[in-house]
Amino acid sequence: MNRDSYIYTIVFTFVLTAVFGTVLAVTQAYFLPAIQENEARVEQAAILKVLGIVPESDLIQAFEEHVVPVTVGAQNAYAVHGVDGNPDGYAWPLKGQGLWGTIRGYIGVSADFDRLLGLEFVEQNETPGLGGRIGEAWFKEQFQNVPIVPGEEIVYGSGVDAITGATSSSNAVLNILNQTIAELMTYEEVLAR
Amino acid sequence: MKKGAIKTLLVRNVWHENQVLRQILGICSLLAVTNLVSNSLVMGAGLIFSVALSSFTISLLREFIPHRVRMIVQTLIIATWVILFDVILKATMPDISRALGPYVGLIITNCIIMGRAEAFAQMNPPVESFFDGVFAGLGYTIVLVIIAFVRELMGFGTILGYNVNFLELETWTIMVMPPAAFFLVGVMIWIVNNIATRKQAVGGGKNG
Repeated sequence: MNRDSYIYTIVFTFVLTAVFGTVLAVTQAYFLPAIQENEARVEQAAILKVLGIVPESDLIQAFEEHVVPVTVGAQNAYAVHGVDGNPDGYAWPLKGQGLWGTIRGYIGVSADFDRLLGLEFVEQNETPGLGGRIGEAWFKEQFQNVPIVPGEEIVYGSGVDAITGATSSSNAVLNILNQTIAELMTYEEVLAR
Repeated sequence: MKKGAIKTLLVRNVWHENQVLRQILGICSLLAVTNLVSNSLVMGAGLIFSVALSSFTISLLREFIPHRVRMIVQTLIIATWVILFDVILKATMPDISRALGPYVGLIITNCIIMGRAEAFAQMNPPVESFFDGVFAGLGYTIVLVIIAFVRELMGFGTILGYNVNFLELETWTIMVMPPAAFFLVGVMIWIVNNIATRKQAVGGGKNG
């Protein structure tokens, strides 16, 4: 068989692509449930964290016990209920453009919408070691208990510091955060009802 | 496989023909990941896995691959292994997968994998090709870790995330930025070339 004939080349490429494609598709299908479960756990862990809940033992159990999903407009938000049955706070999804890709996560706000409870990312592709440091605990913890004043944006310098050498990523986070808060405030009455 | 062949492959790939220092391949990913030792280790592991299995597969198919389309076929094989690696990692080790995140794409485009496929796997038996891949990846990983060690130490004052900056010296932001890798890899190439030339002069050039 002539290895360089057109027919052989076409048949070979076709067969090889089909075989490798099938292998990938089967593997992907086989692992999909496990991958989805891992992803769901990352989301749940982030929601619990921004609401300030430390899971005693099992993450899923803690999530089901404390968190009530609420749908507001087109958004899925999450409320956390205190011992008296009234909400203690809300987790709200955060999404926007970072330097290299989408930054996605959650913010937690107190029940009376006057301060942030926390900030967590579930997806970010910033430069590792530079902008990627937005994922480090010290950076995210700065946003705990930052007061929310209607009409005023959060800025760096007042108790919250940007990351040295990662101005673009730091500013991206701040922009997304301020946009998310502004969006959230328009739903304040709906949520607090 | 001939006796001593593995050792020959090891020495050649880690020293005489080191992918980074002698062939100047894989520089793009080197600039990106060497600011932390942990990133470099994960990237190195991913590359060793991908290059070894890609070389093995390409070598198995070497009698059947048409010459005209061999590079696109190699890319297909490399991409398949890297995606498989990514999927399995996501399902079984989600934490490592999240740390690796953006690097998986960098592995597919790493010139070292295609370099080994073209230079070795397409004309050597599968087992040799597999070890050739492992050692080429190892040579790359060693260089990465050395550079990352210097960059993390001077840029963050840490090693593998542990603080070693006991004297509280000022850290160098430049070391965190990609240009620092250029300076360091340049210095390393200079040192290694010097040692190699000196060895050659002493040993009468028997290692060429």
